[in-house]
Amino acid sequence: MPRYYFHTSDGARDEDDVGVVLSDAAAARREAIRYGGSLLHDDPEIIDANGGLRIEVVDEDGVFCAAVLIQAVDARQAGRQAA
Amino acid sequence: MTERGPTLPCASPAPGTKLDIFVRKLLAYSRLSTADQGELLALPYQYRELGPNMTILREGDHSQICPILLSGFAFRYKLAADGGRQIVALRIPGDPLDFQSLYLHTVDHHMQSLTPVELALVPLAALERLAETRRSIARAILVDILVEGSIGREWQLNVGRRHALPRLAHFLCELAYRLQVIDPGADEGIDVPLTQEQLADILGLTPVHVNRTLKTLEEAGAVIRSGRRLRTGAIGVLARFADFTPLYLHRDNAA
Repeated sequence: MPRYYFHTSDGARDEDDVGVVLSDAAAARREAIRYGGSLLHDDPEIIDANGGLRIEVVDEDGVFCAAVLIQAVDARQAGRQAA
Repeated sequence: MTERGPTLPCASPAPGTKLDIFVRKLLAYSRLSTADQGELLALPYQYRELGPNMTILREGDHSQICPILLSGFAFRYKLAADGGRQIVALRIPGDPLDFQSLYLHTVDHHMQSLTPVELALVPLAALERLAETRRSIARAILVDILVEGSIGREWQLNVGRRHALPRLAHFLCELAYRLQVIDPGADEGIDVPLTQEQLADILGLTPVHVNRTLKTLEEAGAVIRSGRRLRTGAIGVLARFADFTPLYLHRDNAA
């Protein structure tokens, strides 16, 4: 079974140099979504950087397979400033 | 233990010699007289060696023997219907693996060797006789069951409520602390014979998240990785990340 690598960017880039053996690219995509959920559970502020959190799945040959992007959008703060 | 799993050849050393580590383990938590210790060392047993990832107990088994781990590591696990596995306990050298079957008819989880293991298979009937005739031994058996229960509660907190970094660091701290009973040098660092996937099954994290968390610990000097090997740094360094207090391990119980 092939090995997939899960790189993250949340302002800083974190390269996965170990990877996980999974059945196929679809399983790797699911794993990336779960990984994102797990990272968010730990630290909701991980998506506060400009661009949010990006998890990129790459196969053994370095070929891009999928990316999971997580962002939050806030309502405009103008006019809601405390008196 | 069931006879279905493949096993390595059997040897039969003189009884009483190899159970020493088991008695040492009980003595770390309970007071036992010299006579009690002698009775435990004289328990009959069959010696068996198993390779890694071999079945020791199966859910639904009606056990007649209590395997005692003489060397190596073993783990209890439960399976979800979709195949998801949760490792619910890790047992270390000296640990009895199935005191529960003394008093419960049916094994309610699975158990596997993690590394190559040496087991002493003690007939439950012989243990039960000792428990009935010697109060201190009955008490030591109960204490072992209670301490495993306490560790299980801590694992529930760990998996249910701690973030990935303190969760992993806590588990590693606990393992080093428990290993001190049989290896006084354990607080300086221990080899962790677990893969990223097995750690994920213990901690309820994805393997990728375990890897990321190990990397953070490695950068802080709390673990050392070389290839597939994982070694911890000193407990003191790990404890900085771990939210760890050893009270629940009850190491003062024999005092």
